[in-house]
Amino acid sequence: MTAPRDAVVTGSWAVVSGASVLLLSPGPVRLLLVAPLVLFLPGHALRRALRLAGDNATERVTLDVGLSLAAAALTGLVLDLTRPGLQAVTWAPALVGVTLVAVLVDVLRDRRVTVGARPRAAQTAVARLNQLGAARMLMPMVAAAVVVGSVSFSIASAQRAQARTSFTQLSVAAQDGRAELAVHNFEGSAVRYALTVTVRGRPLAELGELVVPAGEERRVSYDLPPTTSAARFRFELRREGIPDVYRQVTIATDATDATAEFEPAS
Amino acid sequence: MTAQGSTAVAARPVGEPSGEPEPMGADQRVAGRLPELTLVLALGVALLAYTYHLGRDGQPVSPSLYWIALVLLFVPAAWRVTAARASSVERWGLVLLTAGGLYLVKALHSPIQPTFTDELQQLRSIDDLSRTGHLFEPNPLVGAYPSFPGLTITMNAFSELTGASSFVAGLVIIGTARLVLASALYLLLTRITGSARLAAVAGLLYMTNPNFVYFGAEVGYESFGLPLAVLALLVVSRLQGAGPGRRKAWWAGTVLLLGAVTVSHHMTTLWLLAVLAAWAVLGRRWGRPRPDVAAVSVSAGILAVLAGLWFSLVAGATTLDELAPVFRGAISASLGLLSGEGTGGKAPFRAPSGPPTPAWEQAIGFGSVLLLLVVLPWGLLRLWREHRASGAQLALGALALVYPVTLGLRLTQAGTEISSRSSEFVFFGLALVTALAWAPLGRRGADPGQHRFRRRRQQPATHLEQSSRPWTRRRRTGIAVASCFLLVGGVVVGWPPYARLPGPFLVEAASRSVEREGVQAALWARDALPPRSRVVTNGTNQQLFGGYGRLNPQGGQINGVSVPELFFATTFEPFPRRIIEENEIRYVVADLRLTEQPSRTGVYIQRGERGAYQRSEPLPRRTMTKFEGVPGLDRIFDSGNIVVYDASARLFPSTGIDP
Repeated sequence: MTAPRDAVVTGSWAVVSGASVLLLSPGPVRLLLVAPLVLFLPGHALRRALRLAGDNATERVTLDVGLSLAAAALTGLVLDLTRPGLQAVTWAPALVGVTLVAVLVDVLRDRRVTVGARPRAAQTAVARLNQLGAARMLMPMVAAAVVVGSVSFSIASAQRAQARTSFTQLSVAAQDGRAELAVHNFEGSAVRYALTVTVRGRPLAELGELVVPAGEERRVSYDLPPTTSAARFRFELRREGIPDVYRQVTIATDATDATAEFEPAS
Repeated sequence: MTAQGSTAVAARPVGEPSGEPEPMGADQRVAGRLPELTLVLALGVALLAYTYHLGRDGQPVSPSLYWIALVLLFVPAAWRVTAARASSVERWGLVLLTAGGLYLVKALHSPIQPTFTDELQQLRSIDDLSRTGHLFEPNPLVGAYPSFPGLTITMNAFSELTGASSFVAGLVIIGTARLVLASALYLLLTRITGSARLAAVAGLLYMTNPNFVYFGAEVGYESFGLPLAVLALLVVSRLQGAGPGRRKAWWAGTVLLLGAVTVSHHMTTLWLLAVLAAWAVLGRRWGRPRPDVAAVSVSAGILAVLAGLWFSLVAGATTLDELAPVFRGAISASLGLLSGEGTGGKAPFRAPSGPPTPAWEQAIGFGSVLLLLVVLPWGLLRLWREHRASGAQLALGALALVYPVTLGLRLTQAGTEISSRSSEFVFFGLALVTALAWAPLGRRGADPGQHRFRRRRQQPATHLEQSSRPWTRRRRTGIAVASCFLLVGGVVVGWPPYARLPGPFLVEAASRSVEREGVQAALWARDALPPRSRVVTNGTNQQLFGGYGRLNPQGGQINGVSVPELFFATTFEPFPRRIIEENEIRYVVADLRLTEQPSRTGVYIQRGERGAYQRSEPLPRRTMTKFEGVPGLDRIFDSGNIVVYDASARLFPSTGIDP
């Protein structure tokens, strides 16, 4: 590919990538369009602008990718000096800018020079690939499909294994004289729970039953009663079918009202 | 000059570009056997995915399935790259495919979330950068991470621009970096030895280092810095022989890469500096004909200046904090072992708990080390006799000499980490030396005069002739089998059996200890607790609550009291109280599973704790339940196994509470 043609492709791709960041929501399309902006385009443009002509295509590709990683790392240091720092809105113009400046330098340095013998090499490579024959050309595609399938299978397997771990989270936070309780169900199916409050082992209040669907959280507020002395409130979560206390959390409070009826120490 | 008795290929000073494409074998096809071998490799990946699936299901997995998968990923390439008919492009492709396949060994192990220690530690810096948009936020898990932000920055760029999660960004960036490493190493070795075949063999041998398959594939700053360093060496080798018109360009590339390495990883920077310095010095002393080592010397100088600036302005303190204790401990333990007074000795393959490493694995582990030790002097001798005209090869040979020293460190508990971590650096030299020891075998038989010719030191060494001279099938098979033996031995030495496959939860067993309940507890902490609050917990939960939870795990000693004593004591008085109050600990995370299983690594809280590597029993139940009912400690979270206590009332006491 001649310098201008390569420059047009590289520059256009960089601009499209930058625009995709702003226009497309995250997903496979944006991933495929934008990934080269980090992994390939800046290094490729820099290599061409600097005239780092590798001995062969393998060396050039290695330099393109390696220089891209290096360029991203160093560009980030510069972005850190800016007020917004490292964000999508700064990364996109920065990497597109690096690429475009390098492309411009490449074009200005030599607008019409054919770099190396790549057109011929590329044609030769295509010709050699054609010599492979359909069956042998199919093999890498089958291999790629097998690898993609294996990765998908592994992801599904790991997610399934993770889902097998079942538990329930109970947490509490004190806020403005209230206890904010949260029950998060990771049991894999809907579960019926019951919450009670105790002080010194004595039941103080029933907070009712909760049916929490799998993967969801339910929050319960409880107004802590004024106390004449420091008290520790214990919130006990019971799960349907299990006689013992399933989860428990506690909150301690100072004396809040000397005239209060509730005397935890009595 | 020409290589006598060999194919008529003009020799050239090693390390300088030929300007001519390397001659290929009789088979000039670009792809060669690449399509077929790609399919074999894919089958290896599929078998690996199935093996991991069985492990996750908790089914008994035959270790042979795992090893067969590894063999499928490695051996076909190891056999094919030695074929005379293989083109240089095919060899390059095979080296890359093998590196990619071996990367999937780790990637498929944990495909949905980070479970490896370094990844969890890195997660904290990634998260901080995503939240604040700025670098250098302190990382309580590894202080040096923020000071070497190369990987963090690149992951942030990928994640921000593509919208992918930071975990996916890490997998992609490190996967790409692994391919750059394999490619750059192959091209560098091809350049400095003149032989694509030798380079391919050495490239594959490098992948047999104990840390390549798992540790080196983790999303960590070393995994990012090392490929850039090897690429920098390749660029310097190009710079060395570049004509005056091209030099500026290669200089620009060199400075860019050296800068990126400097901001990416401390040890890689120091290693690269050492290699460049050795290359310059040894090349100047023995290089023939007089090589152009000025470029190498200046590159080393530039790196020294960049590193000096970076270390003095940004990373000096954190680097010292991280590395000094490790090296000090290793030196102290080694001296103690030598004097017979030390207590930090360690028997290889001995774990404090769990099933012992199978005898056959131990045999292969020891055998692989022995094989390398046997080959090392042979390869070094050959390098000295035939290749000392090349400063680059001499530098790598000197690097290989470090290998026996690192093995000695493995005899101490404190030195094991240095020994293990150094393998990724030392094997650059060891792989070349081993390949040199194996490579000329076929040639010597075919060309008796060749060996004698090489003894003339004024003649530059080159292996160009090897590319076209076939090796016997027996020798090629031998090299493939021996390489595979080294790969299996490397994995055995580098990664414990319980951590190779995913599976049910184990206490303090690296990735096997990271599961849903712990991760969800840490995510709850992130949402419910003030960021950067001080927390004390066991080793795995330190990573989780520090990485996911944004809390600051505490360790070490305060006023002579070791923080792990908080958990080892069976009563709350006196040490746990002192530790909480004097450290201003805000939260205590107790994991009851530590009282049900012994730690697989022998460590519960942190290295250096009392009884580390000695405990073979679980902690007593009371060590985790002693916090119940203590005045000033609120039990604010309970997920069955994990309980979080809030000690803020103890820090800001008001009235005592009768438990």
